[in-house]
This record gives sequence, C-alpha cells and structure tokens, in this order.
Amino acid sequence: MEFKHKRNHAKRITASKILPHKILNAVNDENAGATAIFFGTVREHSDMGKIIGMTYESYLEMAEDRMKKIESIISRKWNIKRVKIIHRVGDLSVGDVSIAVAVSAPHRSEAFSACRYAIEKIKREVPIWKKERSVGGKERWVKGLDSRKYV
Amino acid sequence: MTRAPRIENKVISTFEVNVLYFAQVREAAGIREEKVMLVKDSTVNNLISKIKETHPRILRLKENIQLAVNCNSGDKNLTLKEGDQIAVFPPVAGG
Repeated sequence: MEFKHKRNHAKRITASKILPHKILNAVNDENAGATAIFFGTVREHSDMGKIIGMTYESYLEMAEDRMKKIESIISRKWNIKRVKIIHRVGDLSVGDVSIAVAVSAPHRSEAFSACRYAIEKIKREVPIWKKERSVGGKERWVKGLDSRKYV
Repeated sequence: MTRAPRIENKVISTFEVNVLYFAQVREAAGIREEKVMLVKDSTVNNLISKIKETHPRILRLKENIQLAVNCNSGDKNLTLKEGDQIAVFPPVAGG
C-alpha cells in the first residue's frame, strides 16, 4: 500500500516540548490497526551520578535530511501507514521527552519492527549531540556511537 | 570566486567554504561557524589540514572526529567548491 507523505513538511527538530497526544494524532490513519510509539526521556542517573538535565544540539539541516531518509527507508521496508519522528533540542529536564518515534501500520508486527529500526538508526546516523548537567554544575558530553575517524 | 593578487606572475585563484563546528568540536574550536579560504582544487583533506592548523585544540579531543560536506558524509579526496558547507563533529549521540 502506498505510504502517505502528507505530513512530510513537518518539523523533525523542535525546541518545544514534545506532546504525546499530538504524536499519536500525527500517525492516525483509518487503515491502521496498530500504532507503536517510542519515547526517549531524560534519565536522572548516569555514570556521572545524579543528572538535573540534558542539553541537546543538532546540525539542523542534516538532521532533518537524515530523519526524512529514515522515514522513507522504513516505509519501503515495512507495510506502514504513517510515521512521525521528532527530536527536541535545547535544555531539557529529567523526565522530559527528548525524542518520539511513532509508526502506524495495519498490524502490530510491522509497527513494532519499523519503530525499533527507526530509533536505532536515528541514534547512529542523525547529527544530534547531548550534554549532561549534574547538580554541582558539572557538564559532560555523552559519548556517541559511531567510531569512524575522519580528521 | 575571488582572485588573489598576482604572486610571481601567477594568478592564484581562491574560493570560500563555510565550516560549521558542533558539540565538543565547537567547544574546542571556540567558534560555531567560519568562512575558510582555499586555493582552487582544494580537497576535503586540504581543508582538514587548515582546520588543524587554525584550531589545534580539536586534535586533543578523544572522540573520532567526523565530517559532512553539504549534509553528506564526506570523502577525504572530494574536491571542494565555492559555497560548500562542511560540518565537523564528534560521533552522534541523539535520542
């Protein structure tokens, strides 16, 4: 079935709070019997100790581009109806949603698989970085996943 | 394309690219964005040498530094042209 690109112009990087009900609405489709949503949230503990928040930054143009590509990859690999991916940037507090990946599909198997695939790919390929802020004012960049060396 | 003055009767033609720095690389460079002038036919490799010279602190980073040319993963031998946007950054860590 044809993948709907209707909402393809939507912003994928945002400085505003991610609202779960809006994510669900964004993938609503009358031919979908299943919706899988992944939310990434800011965790209170890291190996640095207690965290008060996380600061995210992105290379906006490239991040949007990569996320758009991931959306089209999952729409080719699985029979899905709609996809919504949004990542927040700026200063986030513990418990805030940093990323949402929502996929609606006729059946749950495709929805789960496509959603899982998308979040794993985002973590490896989308140019976004985060810095932990601890209680004492200490800050530390979170180590990234890719190990290719260029410079 | 801008033209530099004649040197030993040769005209050295140059061009400018836009370089963006992110995360740890941005902090090490102490700058978010800058224009870098290169001589005609310069490659990504030539630009990297220039960046290392200007911002030696980037070399002290433990992370593997990555590069994108106009939002695509950059090949070191790619020849750059006027107006290219090159981003320099550590491994991504979103989510």
